[in-house]
Amino acid sequence: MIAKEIYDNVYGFIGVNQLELEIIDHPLFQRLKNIKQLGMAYTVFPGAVHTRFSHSLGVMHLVNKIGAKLIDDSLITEDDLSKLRLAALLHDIGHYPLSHTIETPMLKKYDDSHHEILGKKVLNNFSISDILNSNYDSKEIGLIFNGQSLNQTFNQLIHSELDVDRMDYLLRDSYNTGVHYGQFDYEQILRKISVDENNLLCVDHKAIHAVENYITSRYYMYSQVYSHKTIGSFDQLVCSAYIEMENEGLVPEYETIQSDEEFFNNYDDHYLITLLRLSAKQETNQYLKQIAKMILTREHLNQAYEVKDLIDFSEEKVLPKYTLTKHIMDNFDTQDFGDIPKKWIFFDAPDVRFSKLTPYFDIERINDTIDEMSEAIYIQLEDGTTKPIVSLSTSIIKHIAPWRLKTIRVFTLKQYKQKLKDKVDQLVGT
Amino acid sequence: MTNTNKLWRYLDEISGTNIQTFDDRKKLQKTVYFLQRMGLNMGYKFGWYIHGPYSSDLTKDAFEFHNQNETLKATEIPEISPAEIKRIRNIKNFLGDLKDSPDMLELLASLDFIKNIAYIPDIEEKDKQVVIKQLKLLKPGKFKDVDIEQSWDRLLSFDLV
Repeated sequence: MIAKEIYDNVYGFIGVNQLELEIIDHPLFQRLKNIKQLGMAYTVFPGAVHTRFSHSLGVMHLVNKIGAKLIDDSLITEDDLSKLRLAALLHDIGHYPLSHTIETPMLKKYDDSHHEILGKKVLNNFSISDILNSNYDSKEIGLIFNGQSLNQTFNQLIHSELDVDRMDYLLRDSYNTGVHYGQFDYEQILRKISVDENNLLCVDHKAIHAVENYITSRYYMYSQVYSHKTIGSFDQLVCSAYIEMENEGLVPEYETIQSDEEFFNNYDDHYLITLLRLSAKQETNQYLKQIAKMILTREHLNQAYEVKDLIDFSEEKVLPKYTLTKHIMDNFDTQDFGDIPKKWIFFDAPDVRFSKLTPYFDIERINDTIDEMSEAIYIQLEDGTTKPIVSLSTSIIKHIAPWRLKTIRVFTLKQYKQKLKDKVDQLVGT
Repeated sequence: MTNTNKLWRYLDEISGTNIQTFDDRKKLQKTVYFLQRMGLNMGYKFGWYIHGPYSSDLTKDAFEFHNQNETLKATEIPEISPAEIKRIRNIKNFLGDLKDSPDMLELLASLDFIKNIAYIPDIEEKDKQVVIKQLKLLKPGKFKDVDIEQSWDRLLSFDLV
């Protein structure tokens, strides 16, 4: 029964039941109102200030639409849908300030700090579990949004190339940034979704063009928004600032983050901005001071060097210049950059693809390699069989799936830009 | 997230790093699953797929590592510490003769996942019977009873279950 309707700028009214409302009202969930979905993207797209809060509601809304159809088809139960709604609502509960921007340095330092793993921990250890455990088991909900349920369908709804998380963020990010590439016919996909004999999600062939549109939308959003060079440069600054703050003891270690509920409820964008403001005023760490000032005044780094290549990964050929630049990046610590301070050299290497397929994809052995295909998008053909869209000769996706846009950028301060360009050119041999 | 070169160093010591066939990659997946379970955390998150625990990021990293220029790979072999060597020895002892059997590795990893990670509704304590029953539900007829029993005993002897 609907206890409340919340108005969403993408879908209109989203209904929530009493249990979901109690979860939404809990400080742990309210915290998501203070975490920007797209991190530093607002520095380029001023409208990109939407939050993990609205995204979480949106994901729940989409899973409900799919779930209702799967119930009609007797593929899942009402109880299954209730669990899926909760998993969708809570899937980002463990996100860091500025979302993936801060998650990046955390993952480099702490192996189990992925936001979904952290989400599972806070869900089980903090007081929000009391609300969940009245009717469900918080352990089960955490496993579902980590893709660790023993139910394949559950995992796929939250973790696949066609999952509800991805669908919502593309639509929402497109709407809020104003970049129209992220728009696709999601209603058609949801109407035609089903589950095959291997319990894998599939879409009826009548919606194949909507799926193709979704895949290309995703590619363009990645190349135009998520991999934008200025946003990338600010991400680098924020990462470096966070590492410095951790070294100075200004932010706690992961052990505290995952175990101190009071701290975690306030661990959001406001917390980080406050620390940056304090860092911009202190005198002890001049490097941190400068970075903090740059972030707060939108003074971005300068791109000194870029190599970009659109490659067909099935042929495994990359520009030699890309390979050599990657080698420099991977061996940064031992490279000689002359008198350019290494602390002011930043590498960013976005990798944009149409599909997560490996180059070992073999149409003849789809059933054998089904794990590797579990995240692929399956199309249900007229004869009832299902095949990954990348294997269908009549689909454009088969022809563009192997292509990836690989980029490496090198950023620095304005005063070092030319020197760094010359240095990298020299190291690469151009 | 992870130091792929280091991971490859560990795998070199245990079972090799071939990823040409699906069976090679299945062995890789389950070996890394146990690497992490037995103390050498590489930061891979394993979900549940049709052949048991699987990490798509691991497959992606495996491919990218293999595509590196051979000369570059050779210059970047990291050292491993005495503590790491000890853990690797333990993992090798655990895997034993099964390290080259993708199906048996799948069985071991699946039992471990069901026991230690998975959620089974209305079950407080996942004992051996419950875990094996769940395995048979998920993979009917795939494994012989004798193999299941021996795999459980192996997991038990290394305190994994």
